[in-house]
Amino acid sequence: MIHVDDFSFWYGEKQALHHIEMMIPEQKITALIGPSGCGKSTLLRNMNRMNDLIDGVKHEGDITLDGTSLYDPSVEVISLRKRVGMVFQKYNPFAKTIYENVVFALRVAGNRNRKELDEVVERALRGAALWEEVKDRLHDSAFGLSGGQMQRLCIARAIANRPQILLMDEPCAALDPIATLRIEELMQDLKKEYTIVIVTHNLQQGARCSDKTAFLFEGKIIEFDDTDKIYNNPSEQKTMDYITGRFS
Amino acid sequence: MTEQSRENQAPRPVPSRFLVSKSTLRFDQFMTSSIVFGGLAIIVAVFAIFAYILSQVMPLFKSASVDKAADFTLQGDQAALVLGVDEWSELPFVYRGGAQLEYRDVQGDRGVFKEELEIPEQQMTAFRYSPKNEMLALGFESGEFAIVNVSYEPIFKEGVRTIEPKVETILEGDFEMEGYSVIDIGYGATEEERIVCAVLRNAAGETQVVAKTFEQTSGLMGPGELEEKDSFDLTQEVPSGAHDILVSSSADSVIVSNKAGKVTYLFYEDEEFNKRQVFQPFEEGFARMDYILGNVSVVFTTSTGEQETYSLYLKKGEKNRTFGKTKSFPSVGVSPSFFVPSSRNKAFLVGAGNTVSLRYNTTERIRWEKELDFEPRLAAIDGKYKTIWFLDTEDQLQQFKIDDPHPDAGLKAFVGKIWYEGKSEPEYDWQSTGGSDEFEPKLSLVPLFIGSLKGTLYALMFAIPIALLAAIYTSQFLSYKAKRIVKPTMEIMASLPSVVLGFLAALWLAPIMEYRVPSFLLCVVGIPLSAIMVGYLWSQLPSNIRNFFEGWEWLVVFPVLALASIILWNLGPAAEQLLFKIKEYQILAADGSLLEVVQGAGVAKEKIALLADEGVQATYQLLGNVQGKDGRAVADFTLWWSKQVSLGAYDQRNSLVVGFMMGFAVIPIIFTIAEDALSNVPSSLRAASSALGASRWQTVKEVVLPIASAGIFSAIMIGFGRAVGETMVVVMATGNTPVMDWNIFNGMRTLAANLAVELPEAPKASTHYRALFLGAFVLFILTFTVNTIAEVLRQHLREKYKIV
Repeated sequence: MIHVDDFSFWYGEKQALHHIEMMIPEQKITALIGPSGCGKSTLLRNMNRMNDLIDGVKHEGDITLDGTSLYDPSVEVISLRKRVGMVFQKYNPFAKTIYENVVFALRVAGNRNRKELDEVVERALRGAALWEEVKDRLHDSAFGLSGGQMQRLCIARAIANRPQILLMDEPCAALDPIATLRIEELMQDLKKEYTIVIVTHNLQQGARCSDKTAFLFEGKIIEFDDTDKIYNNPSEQKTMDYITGRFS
Repeated sequence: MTEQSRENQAPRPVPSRFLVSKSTLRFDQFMTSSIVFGGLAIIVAVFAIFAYILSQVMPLFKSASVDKAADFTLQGDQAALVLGVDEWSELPFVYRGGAQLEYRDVQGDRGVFKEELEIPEQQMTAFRYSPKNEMLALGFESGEFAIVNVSYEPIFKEGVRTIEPKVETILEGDFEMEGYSVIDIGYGATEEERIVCAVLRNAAGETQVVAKTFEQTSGLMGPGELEEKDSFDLTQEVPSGAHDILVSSSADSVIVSNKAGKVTYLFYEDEEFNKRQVFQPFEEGFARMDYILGNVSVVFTTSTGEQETYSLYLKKGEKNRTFGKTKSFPSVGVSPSFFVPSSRNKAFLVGAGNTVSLRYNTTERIRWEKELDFEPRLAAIDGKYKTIWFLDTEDQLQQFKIDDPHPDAGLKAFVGKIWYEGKSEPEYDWQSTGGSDEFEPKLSLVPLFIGSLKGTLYALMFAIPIALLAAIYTSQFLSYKAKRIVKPTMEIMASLPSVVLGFLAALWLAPIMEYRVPSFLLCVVGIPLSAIMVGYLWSQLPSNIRNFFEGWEWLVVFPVLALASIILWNLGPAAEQLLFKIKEYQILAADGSLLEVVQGAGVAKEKIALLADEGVQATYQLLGNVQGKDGRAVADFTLWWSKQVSLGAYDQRNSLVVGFMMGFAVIPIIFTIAEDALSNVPSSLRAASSALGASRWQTVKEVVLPIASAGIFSAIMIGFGRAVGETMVVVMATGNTPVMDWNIFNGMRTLAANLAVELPEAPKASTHYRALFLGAFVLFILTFTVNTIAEVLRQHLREKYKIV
């Protein structure tokens, strides 16, 4: 699926990632954990080239998706991003209706088929476990929703166009525990269909819902293994220290 | 230490570390109060400016107030015929028909005294007094006449000014009509010539109309004697029963009316009288006719008090100015007893019974009307338009003070269509000052308002697309490195003095544009088209090339656009040669005979319309191209525009030049504010949109623009405000003609430019001065209204597209 191959990354002069090497498995949830500033978000954002939007960045090495390099000059970033959806830490719905938020990806792809769009809205919202709550007010502004609902709307928006991979950058950081729980349940549903990469600060969350876990520290992958192994029997002392809360 | 004092000591004193230091508190207090003061001061200042402008403007809309000041007794044995007064209103006189003038000193201690007149010792049968020229024309039973100059002279003695009367008979003569006596007389003068006209009647009731002209000879010491030159018998020229006669004080026209109310207008030129017109103002006839100041308008008053003004103007298809009805006034009730024109403005005072009415001809308004508690028989207005004198039936002189500093102002004068003297139709016009005292100010703000909107519109048409597209490109597409240079550069451009832009527009751009309009038009159309073409070709390139240039695409577009502009600019003359040939047309009469050959279809059509007005049916036929000396067809856009299209002339200082240059003044402001608004859209939304596969343009269109719309809207409105108030570019590059059309190749005069141009020459507190303030007020209200509407809309947009 996604293969990160000896990937290094710089913000200006500052090196954020050092020779990252990892294979992300299909239809699993892969969690990236590590202390603040360890580079986990940077790594995630490189997986659909969102870091392109930042000025003065450079990289070495490669990330491949199904064998093609993301950084090949001929790659259309737009079509890449259609394959790799993303959910952000802070929910960020557009100033549009709930309906229009969900179909945004299809609209920009030029889909004008009303019936198809209606189906997509229902499917995506059901997929994001939001359908029952909003089905009567699809054409109201998205700003009328609660924080948790907005984040689920953003997930629905991300899965509306059926990407292969869903990147989630601390999706529950801005949510209360109940909303967090709903998102975690949702992830378990979603992994039947999508490959999910999640960045989380919450070790319990990582333990609860991921299949594989990568521990990053100072821009390097310290350990990448099955979640059970990382949490219960890590091979590295650093991982052990972090898991057990000696530092954070 | 007692129990009491121990209790007084606070049990738990506040530790000093919890206290805020005094200096912090003081500074906080100081800053709070100075910010509050500053904010309030700004609001107060704006309102104070508003109030000041309003206070300057309000007097324009006040009507006249006339109040009795004093009365003085005269001691005459006969009824007075003429009442006159000096400029300072100190020494009124009456004429009772004899050989004396009776003066009444109302300022000093001279009381009533008399001055002798050197006139024929005959029975006086006709008189006419012109206060403006201080001339009293007298006609006698014997057919003789005398013209007396009744003037005043201020004498300074030991620092005290006294007004001395000066009476001088300048002309005496005889119409030499045996058995006829003068029944009405008129007098007019130019520098070289004098005209005396009179209606004479014999015992049988037959009338004669005669005119005599005199030549001003020049002596060794200034003007010499008046020598009789010619004598004219005008009886045959006018309908029978001549009754009244008026001679314009400029001695070029004579108006004779008969008892039936038929009026004959005779024009005197080159020692000849020509009958120009016979007309009948009222079917039932009229009681009197009088010139008002300026010799262009005559007011006819009927015996029932109806009043209409007839002015000289050029009617369609006629070659000479003739009289036509331009104004009508409400009735004064009964037959008029007197009619006094102001010698300062176009006001006149008419009395009928006890009612007196002060009216203003230009605006057709009654300035003051009152039923007095006495019956005025005569009246006079002083030369300063400050005092009215009435002489009542008891021989009492009643002095009234006029407070009417702005008789020519009023709502109608500023926004209404007015039939000005000499104009062929009612129109909106601004012409605040003229060459003579008799000038009628034209104070319509409408052409200036239209001019302001026109300049603004053309500037914004040019500036908005460029500024907004540039802002979008810079904030959303341009690489960060380039943006760091572009943004401050544009901000510096905003501080470019507009006088420099105006200077460039007037002295550099306008002359180039005049010869290169086709090139310019080609560029306007061609540059955006070539940009779109480059964009299309670019999108067809393989993605690795495009990705390489991301954020630096302008490096590719720029040379192409530069090349395109050079090519288009140089194609201009060829296009002109091809498209804007001047064609010749022959104008044929109905019988096929050639009347004229003209250049341009527009001119030909106008000619035919003109001929149709004269009753000649004509057609036009294309002859071919106009050929120059070298045998080639003449092609010139400016000529083509004025002759072929004929929507209006091509003016070198035109709206296109202004739109272009003022656009430059406005672009940086719109750009900077819009760019800020666009850049302030949270990057999380742009990221979300990109992450959903939207292209950069789709992100802009779907996500960024709606959120930035409020800010972009403010940017446009601030640009509008700047363009409306922009002065120097307009003053220098428009020609400042207050025309009212939307022709892009014509100039304009804006409210702001009008202020700049005319304020230095407007005397303080004059009507002109206040009218300029009114212009400022309109400008103030215009921007205030637009900004308020804009702010409301902006709030609405911000609410609609707010971010979580």
